[in-house]
Amino acid sequence: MAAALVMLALAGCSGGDDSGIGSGDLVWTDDPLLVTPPALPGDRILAGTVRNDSLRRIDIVARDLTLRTAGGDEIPGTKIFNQTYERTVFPRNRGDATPVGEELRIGLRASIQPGKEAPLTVAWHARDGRPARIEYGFGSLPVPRG
Amino acid sequence: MAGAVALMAMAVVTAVAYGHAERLSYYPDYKLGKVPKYRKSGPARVVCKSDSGRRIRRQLHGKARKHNLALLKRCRYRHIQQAVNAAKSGDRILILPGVYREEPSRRVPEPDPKCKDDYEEYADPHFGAAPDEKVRVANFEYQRKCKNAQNLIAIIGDGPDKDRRCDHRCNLQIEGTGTKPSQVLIDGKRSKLNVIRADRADGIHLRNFTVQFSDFNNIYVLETNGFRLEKIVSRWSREYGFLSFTSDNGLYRKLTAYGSGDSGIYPGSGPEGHCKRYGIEVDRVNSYGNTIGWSGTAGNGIYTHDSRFHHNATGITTDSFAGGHPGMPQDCSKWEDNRIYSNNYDLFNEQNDQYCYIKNRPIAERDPKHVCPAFQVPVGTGMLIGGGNDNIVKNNYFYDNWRQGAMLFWVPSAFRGTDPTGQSQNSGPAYDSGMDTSLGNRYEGNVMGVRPNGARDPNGVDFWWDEEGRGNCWTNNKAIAGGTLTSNPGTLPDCPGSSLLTPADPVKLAMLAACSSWDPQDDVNQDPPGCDWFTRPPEPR
Repeated sequence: MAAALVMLALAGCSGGDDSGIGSGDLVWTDDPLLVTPPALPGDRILAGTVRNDSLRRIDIVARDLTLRTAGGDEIPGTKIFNQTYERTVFPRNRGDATPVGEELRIGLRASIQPGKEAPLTVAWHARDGRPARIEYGFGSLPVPRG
Repeated sequence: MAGAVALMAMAVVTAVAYGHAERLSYYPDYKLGKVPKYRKSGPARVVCKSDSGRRIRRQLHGKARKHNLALLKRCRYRHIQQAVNAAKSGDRILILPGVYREEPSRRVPEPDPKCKDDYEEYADPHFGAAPDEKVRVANFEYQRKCKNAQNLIAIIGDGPDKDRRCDHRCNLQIEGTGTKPSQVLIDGKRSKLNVIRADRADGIHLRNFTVQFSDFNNIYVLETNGFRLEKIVSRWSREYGFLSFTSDNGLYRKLTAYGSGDSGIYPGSGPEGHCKRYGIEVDRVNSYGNTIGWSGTAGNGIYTHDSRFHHNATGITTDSFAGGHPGMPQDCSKWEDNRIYSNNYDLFNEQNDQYCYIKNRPIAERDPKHVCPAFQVPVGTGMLIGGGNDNIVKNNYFYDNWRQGAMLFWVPSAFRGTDPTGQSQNSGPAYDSGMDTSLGNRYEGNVMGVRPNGARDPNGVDFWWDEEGRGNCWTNNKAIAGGTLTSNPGTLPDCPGSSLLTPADPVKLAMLAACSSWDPQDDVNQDPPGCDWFTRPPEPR
């Protein structure tokens, strides 16, 4: 029920540093979507696709991404290299670690070759703040203002 | 489930043990098998316990008592596995009333050093192997030679040859002789992955007992051509109550399944009839109190009817989520004349999270009756098809599912990973497009939000669709008299549906993606922002 959602296609991700500029080798390929789920009006979801603009492979663990406010505070959130629902084949009620290959398959981590793309979805509770960027260790992606 | 199969695989390089990996498995040739018939005569081996006589006299009356007391005189085995070991093809194994703990099997270690070389190594992400990593998985020889390492009772039909067909102990019929399933109890006590494993055991028929407390599958049927599971109660399995995988010519009949961490019944990697036949029938099953009532990754070619799926977190799921399941993408199952209701089991609340996700809590400290979900599902959902094609959902009652009656969404083909057995359609233009699922699913004549007695009992919404696919359609579904069907989107295509492939609603996708990151061991992702699946919705009015 798209019409019932607050969905903002965000124009231009090239504002100024903490107000919208990213840095590093990953870039949004297009304007990501910022969604307020109707059932969770206090939450925000940002979904888009990132491209590796470097000449080397980039390996990232999704949980190591950090959402930060313009002031530098960390915002707890969920991060996954995925565009829709997927899940592991390994039962999660056993306490076993999820194998690396499986994490790659379901988007808990990404290995992005130069010039290639990967979907990325992040979500957070709006009460925790408004992220300005998604840090990935050696760069950041801007979170456009909604 | 996913897919469901239970062995321990060990990464050679990292020495990490992973659950849920099985050797590469292959479909049998369905033309060579058939569903076994119930036999009341023929060679029989009788199993009893020291107190069986007392139980017979206390629990049975009339002809049943007389018959069982006569059988008691013929009892030669104290353990079911002993009788299986002695059996010849076509034998019946008659289990007299009692509790069967199979102590000799329990004493067999896992891994069993006698079979230390009986593993296969896979450098494949299908097994979760990282680059430069190999994963070790027990092979068929492991099961054949060390049958009780992982299994309390193992019926291993094939020999050391390469044909993957039953050679001995085929067509066994193993049945409790009481008048009720409760009178014969097989108790795994979480000591083994599987309580009963039928592996290439063509023609196996299990009947009339109760089985409980596996660490993975209470009843597990693998690469088996012809099987029949009937009048069995399966409860409190850590993962699956009844599971079949790459098997054909099967029948699940009059089964009760409850208390499973994954699903009550799991006919996964189902027969590849591609809509020309149904290879497994599910008839009069009652599955409740599980995370999922019926699940099957690549749950193909299954006809489910006259069954009840209720009081689970989600009633039914079939999907193309997981890698390593032959028969991808899921297709061609039919659900007809079932009752799918009240699937609102609140397993993801804070209290359950705290209990379940203490890492590696010792078995002795676990309450084996406590259901800890193996996977995330949208609590309050009657039925979920995630990446399925050409399924028929017809003339069922869906009611009192507080989130949605029936849910349909796409799964991109790339997520399926690989199928090293080559038994999936993981190539070609449709696969390459990424959009080879949610094609041709038909919802017809279902009664939504109404109990069979005509009383109103609404679902949150009757139908939910991510809007992706082609040829998906909804026709002649009924709401209560004077009411209207509810759906998201508000209008659904009538049959035969659109011939044009439509993309998914990106907003719905974003919401689904957030649910992917569920992680019971992570404070944030126990209940990930952006995902409402894990909070039971309020009852709709």
